[in-house]
Amino acid sequence: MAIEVLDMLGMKCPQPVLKIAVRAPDMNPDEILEVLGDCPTFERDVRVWCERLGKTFLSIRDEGKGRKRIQIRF
Amino acid sequence: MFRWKNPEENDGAMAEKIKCWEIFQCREEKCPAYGSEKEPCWLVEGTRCRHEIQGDFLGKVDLCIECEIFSVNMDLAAMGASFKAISEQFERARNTLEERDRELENISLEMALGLSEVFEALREISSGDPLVRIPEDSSLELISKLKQLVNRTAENLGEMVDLSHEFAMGLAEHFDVLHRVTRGDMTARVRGDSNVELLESLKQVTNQMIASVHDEINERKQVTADLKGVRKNTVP
Repeated sequence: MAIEVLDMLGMKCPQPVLKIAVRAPDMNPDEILEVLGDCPTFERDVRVWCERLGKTFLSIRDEGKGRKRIQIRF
Repeated sequence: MFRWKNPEENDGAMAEKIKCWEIFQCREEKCPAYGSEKEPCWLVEGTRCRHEIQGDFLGKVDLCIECEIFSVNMDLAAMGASFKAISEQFERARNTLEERDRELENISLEMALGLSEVFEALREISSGDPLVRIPEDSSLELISKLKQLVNRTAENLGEMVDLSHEFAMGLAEHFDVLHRVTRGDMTARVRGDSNVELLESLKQVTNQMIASVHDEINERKQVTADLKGVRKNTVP
């Protein structure tokens, strides 16, 4: 299964969450969206979004310099 | 009137020296040198010559050097006592200077550390992180106040950021629910709670609207089904 990647480096929160929300309707159940961001509250926002919308926060990888790569299962 | 004294006659006391209060017919009875015969007046701290209160010998040396009493009473013993006093006063001054130097070093260090913390906090805040907080204690009041100011700024900024996040989450959830409805999922409802009154009202309105549309669709389906039933029964 192909993993879709959404690069949101340089975007300030809550912009990344709004971007994810726009992409969400195009995702099918069990598909994975990988989001990349460097806003300080990026991880917290994605976690809250997943919780609120019933998605699975699969994993997070710290890539240094504030960059984080998160996988979300729909 | 003045009598030069042979240093060999000196017995260490001031008894045979010229007395300043006598020569100047001084009436400053509160002057510590007044009536004193123990040591030369220039070595007495806090004298009241010329209606002013002087400090130690180093502090009033310019005044004393010009004074007749100093010239006349200076002998080997007085010179030795003066050098000793000067040495002690230099030692005290050196200790005071060292102490102040240490204080200044401590202040500089505290200032540098405090400003570094403030600088780092401001850097993090400017990068969009309002969660940063720094300890507000400092021996320097100015640094302490500056740290408090940075923390208050971060708190206020944090409240604004939290609010914008709350709106974003609410908007995202509404978008998701409405999108599911457009695909025919009439069970979709906005469920997340919000402390923003507007979002709570929007949630109620959205859910009521979905429920109304759902009811309307069901009614229409029922009517359509009824009409089909009637037609089936009436058509021969």
